[in-house]
Amino acid sequence: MKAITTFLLALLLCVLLPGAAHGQCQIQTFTNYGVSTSEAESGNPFSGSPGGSLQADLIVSVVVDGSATMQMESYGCPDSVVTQFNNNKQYITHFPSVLNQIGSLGGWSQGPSFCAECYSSYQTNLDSGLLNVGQTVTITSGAEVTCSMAGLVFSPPFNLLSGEIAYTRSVNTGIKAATFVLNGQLWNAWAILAYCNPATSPPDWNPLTYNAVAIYPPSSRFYIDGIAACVRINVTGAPWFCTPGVSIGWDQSLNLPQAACTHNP
Amino acid sequence: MWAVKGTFLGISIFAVGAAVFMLLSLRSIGGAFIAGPGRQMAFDIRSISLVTIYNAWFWAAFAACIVIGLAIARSWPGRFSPVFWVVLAVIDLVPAGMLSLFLVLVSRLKEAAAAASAAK
Repeated sequence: MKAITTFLLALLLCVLLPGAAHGQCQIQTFTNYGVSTSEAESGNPFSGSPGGSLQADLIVSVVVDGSATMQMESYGCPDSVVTQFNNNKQYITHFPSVLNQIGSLGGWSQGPSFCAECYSSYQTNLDSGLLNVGQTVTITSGAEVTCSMAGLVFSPPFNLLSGEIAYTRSVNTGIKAATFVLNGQLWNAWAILAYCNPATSPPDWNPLTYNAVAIYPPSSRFYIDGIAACVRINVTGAPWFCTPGVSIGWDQSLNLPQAACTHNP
Repeated sequence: MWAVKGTFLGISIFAVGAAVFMLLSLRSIGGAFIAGPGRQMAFDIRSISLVTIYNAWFWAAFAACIVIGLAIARSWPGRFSPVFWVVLAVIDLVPAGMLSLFLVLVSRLKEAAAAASAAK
């Protein structure tokens, strides 16, 4: 099968090269590929008592998927060449490559080849290993698709993103910012303020509201420890964009101190 | 066989519905799945269980989705295209990923709650 494919590709090249020399026969490639990067956290973000050592893994997934259509430019190109191309283009293959890097970990990896006009999807997942909450890592992601005939057909600019698992301690002000009903339960949105030490203020993830069902009084949810997955463009000073945080509230009687929150301006 | 297909279809309807419901609920209270400064918020993990696994409507919706899935599979004329099942499985990856992340966080938060109780 491989020999037949190689022969047909060689034949195709022989047919196309004279046309290319005249500048009349050119392969047109229309790509519909896309690359996306997503981050998730796993591991043990609360490995001790409140304010204790916080660690978790960051898992980065990069996927390139889509398809392409290829055709021979028919204007000025002999019909025999166009026909030959159309009869043999199913033997043309595309090779996806994905760049998935956290700091110096990971790199490029090449996926399996697939027929040029078929839908394909290639994904890599990279685990950072245990990170301390507050530790910043640089995520470099990207993708390329190379065609066996036309060379590089998809090469978007690299997404230079920074990701982190942000930890923030807040205190409940006792001020009800809003009430709403969700799934038949009355919820209160309490206004909260970050409760971080001066060196780590303002925190990267700075939730303004803490949503809890109305049966819990604010004094029983006074100290609020929370985590969220955050990402930003890898430029110093750029704002962090975070998922809604999952939080746990502690009673006011615990008298918890200001925490070392995640702070990477 | 139709029972297996119907159950899978029902679970998919429920999973996608729950994910969409969550995103719409976030939007209705002024939040978003990814939010920048000024729109970030936190959710009490114990409150989430009250509106899901301890909520009768949650399980009623689950049962209804299973029934709808079974009804569709039973009454569907001819065969389902294999492409349909592949697309459905791919779509299911989104709520499955969100659920996985949530369950990991819940398990860690339980440890934190235990540590806090011990500190008292």
